[in-house]
Amino acid sequence: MMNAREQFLAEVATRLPLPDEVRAGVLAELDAHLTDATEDLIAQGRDPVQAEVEAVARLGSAPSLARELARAHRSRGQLFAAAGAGTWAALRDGTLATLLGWLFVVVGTIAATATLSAASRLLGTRIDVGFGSSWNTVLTALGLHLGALFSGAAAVRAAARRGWRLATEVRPWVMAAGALAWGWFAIVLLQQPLNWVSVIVLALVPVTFLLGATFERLRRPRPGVVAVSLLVVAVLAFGLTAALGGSGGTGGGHFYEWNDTQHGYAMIAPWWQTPGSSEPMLFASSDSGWQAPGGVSVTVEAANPDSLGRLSGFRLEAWRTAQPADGWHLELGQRTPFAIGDVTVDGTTLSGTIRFNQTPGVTWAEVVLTGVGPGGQRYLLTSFGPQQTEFRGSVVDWFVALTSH
Amino acid sequence: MLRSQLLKGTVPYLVLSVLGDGELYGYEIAQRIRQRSGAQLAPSEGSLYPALHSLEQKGALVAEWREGTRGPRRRYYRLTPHGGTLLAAAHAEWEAFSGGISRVTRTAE
Repeated sequence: MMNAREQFLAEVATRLPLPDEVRAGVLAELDAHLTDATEDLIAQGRDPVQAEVEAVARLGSAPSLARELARAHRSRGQLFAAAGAGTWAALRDGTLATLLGWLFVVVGTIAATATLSAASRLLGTRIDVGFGSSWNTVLTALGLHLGALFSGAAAVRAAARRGWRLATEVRPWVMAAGALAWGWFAIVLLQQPLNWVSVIVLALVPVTFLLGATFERLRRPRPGVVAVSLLVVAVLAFGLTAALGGSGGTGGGHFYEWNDTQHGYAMIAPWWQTPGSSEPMLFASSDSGWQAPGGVSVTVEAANPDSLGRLSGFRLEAWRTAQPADGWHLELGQRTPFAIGDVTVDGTTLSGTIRFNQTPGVTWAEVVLTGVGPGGQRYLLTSFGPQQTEFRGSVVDWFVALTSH
Repeated sequence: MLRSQLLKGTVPYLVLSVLGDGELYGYEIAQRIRQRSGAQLAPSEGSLYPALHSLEQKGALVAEWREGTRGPRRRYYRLTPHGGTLLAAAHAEWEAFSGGISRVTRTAE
């Protein structure tokens, strides 16, 4: 059971955000003061216990004294030191924890892949879990969450220690600066393949930083804890993957054939026909396409130079198509392509590039060449087949694209 | 009420003044202020140490731990040349201020 003096000094100590040696000096000075004051009061005839209580009372309230003492020791230089130390601690612990998070992801992914591979061999069938690169972004973001969590805690601790301030005093500033920095990085700067899940996970990174800054006692785990955790992640990944088994697939190829009856060409335009003729004919004698950043580049050789002269307004168009598992067909209800690319004509050669990874939610696209006939009708001239795609950009790009589509 | 409000802002001046006589430790400073004022002034002991540490941070005082003749080790404070300058400036300011107050209150009588 602490007496009045010990209780008072302990309370001042917990509220005095000074370096250990400075705090010890202040407490020793207050202790000496209380000794003198108590002795004087006893000499004046007070009971020893009462004298100590009275001596403590004359120093006022512990929180108020601690606050005033802390203020007396403050300087502007400490603020700069606090900002520097907080930034450095956030960078250091944030980077280490992010790398650690990614290590967990790698171990988990390797374990899951190995399990799937073993299961595939056992079952004699290919197991496809449909894990696109936008799901890799989710894993990347999970690593960032771990980094944000530990950087928040480390920044508050370091800023408070070097700024000679309480955690509660530096927390609002750390929260504001850190959330802005992490938000800028995860939401504005980071360009990744995205789906809705990855967008949400990335957008929540600053929130995790705020969580870390709220619980500043959170410290980086020790190597032993990391090793055991990695083992647990690997075992869990093995176990879960084996239990779920992935979604079975036949592994057979899909051959796309554009069929107006099945795919509803009317959603795009009438099939290519020589204007004025009921006989269908091919527009292209040959075409080729190759992957370009975020889309494809194509070259088309027009089979009939005469038909080329009767068409204008050539362009590449990308339309949404269904998932391979659902059979190749355009998604219903489309009236306009979701992406358009310019086409240049050089003799009988048409070439152009279309970028179709800037539309949220599109996973497969049918890329076609269209042109405007003499009657002003746009015709589909040839198709380059279905292309797998994912939105690529920042979270901000995602929302900008959502509002513009 | 008036006295405690006036006293609050004058603690650093009172501290500098009693230290003008020589070095003292915290409790002695409080006692010296009380004695020299004829027990008219007894600043809160809680305001004494923040004032001492603030003056020390500003370079007006230097402090040194030393064993006392009795009791625990104590932290002795003494004025620096800068503290002496501050004391002179505070003294001149107080003289002007209290003189002004006196003239006003005398006229009111």
